[in-house]
Amino acid sequence: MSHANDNSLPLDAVASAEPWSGTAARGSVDAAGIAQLYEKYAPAIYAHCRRLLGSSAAARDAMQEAFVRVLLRNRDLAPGDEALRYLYRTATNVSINVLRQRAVRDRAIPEIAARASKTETAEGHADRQFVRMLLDRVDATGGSIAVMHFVDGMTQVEIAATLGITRRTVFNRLKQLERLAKALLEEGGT
Amino acid sequence: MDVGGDGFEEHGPGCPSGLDLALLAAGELDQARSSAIGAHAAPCRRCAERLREIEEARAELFGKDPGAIAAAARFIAAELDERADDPPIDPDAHFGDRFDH
Repeated sequence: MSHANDNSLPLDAVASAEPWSGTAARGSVDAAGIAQLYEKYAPAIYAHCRRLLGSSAAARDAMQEAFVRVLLRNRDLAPGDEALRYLYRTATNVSINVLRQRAVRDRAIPEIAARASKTETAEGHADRQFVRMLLDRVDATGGSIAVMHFVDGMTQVEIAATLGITRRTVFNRLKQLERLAKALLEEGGT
Repeated sequence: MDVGGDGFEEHGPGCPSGLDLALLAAGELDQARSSAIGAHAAPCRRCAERLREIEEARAELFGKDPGAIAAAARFIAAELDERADDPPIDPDAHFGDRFDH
C-alpha cells in the first residue's frame, strides 16, 4: 500500500537544503532518510499518540520526540516494519510519560466513576483518564502493558514480543492491573 | 475488565492491534496479512475508525503545506544535531528530563 504524497518535496531537495552540513559531514544525520521515514510513518505514529493523549499538540510533540529518540539510537534506521515497530513502541513510551506527568498534575478521581460505568471496550477520553489513574500507581512495565492492552488493544503475545518479556509475565501483570483497577473503582466509589 | 481462565478478554474479538493497523496503513505487511486485516477492517467500526484516524493524520501533517515533510525532517535533524553529544536516551525509557509537558 503506497501513500506517496503529492505535496512532498523530493528527498534530494531536502538533503541539499540542510543547514547542518557539519553534522551531515560526520555522517550522523541523513535528512533525506529522516524525511523518508517521516513521510512513511509519521501519520500512524501521530494518530497513535493522539489517541493516547487526546490532544493534537501533545501528540505532535510526542511523535517528534519519538523520532528523535529512535534516530539518536540508530541514525541509519532504514524504512521497514521493524522501524515502524520501534517508532511505535517509543511513541507509546513517550506518551506514557506525558500521561504520567498529567496524572501528577491533575488527578481526577471522579473520572474513575465515569470509567466504572463504561464497558471493557470503552474508548477515547474515559480510557485515557482511567489509564492515567493506573499509570500513577504502577511501574514502567506495568504502565506499558496497561496502555498496550487496554488502549491499543494489543494481545498478550504482541505485548510480550514488543517488551521482550514472556506471555506469562504479561498475563500476571494484567492480573495485577485488574486488581488495581478494581481497587481504583472502589476508591472512586467512596 | 473481564479476566477469566488463562486469558484476558482481548480488545475487540478478532480485531488487529493498533500496531497491526499502523503497519497496514504504512504498507509494511505482507500480502496475506494485509489482505486478512484489510478484509476484517472494512466492516469493523473500530478498525475502520483507526485507519481513518491515520488518514486524517496524514492529511493534517502533509495535506496543506507542501514543505511539511522537509520542515519536519529539518526539525528532527536539528534536534539530533543539538543532542549529538548528550548521553543517549533509551527509547524504551518511560521517564526523561527532555520531554516535559
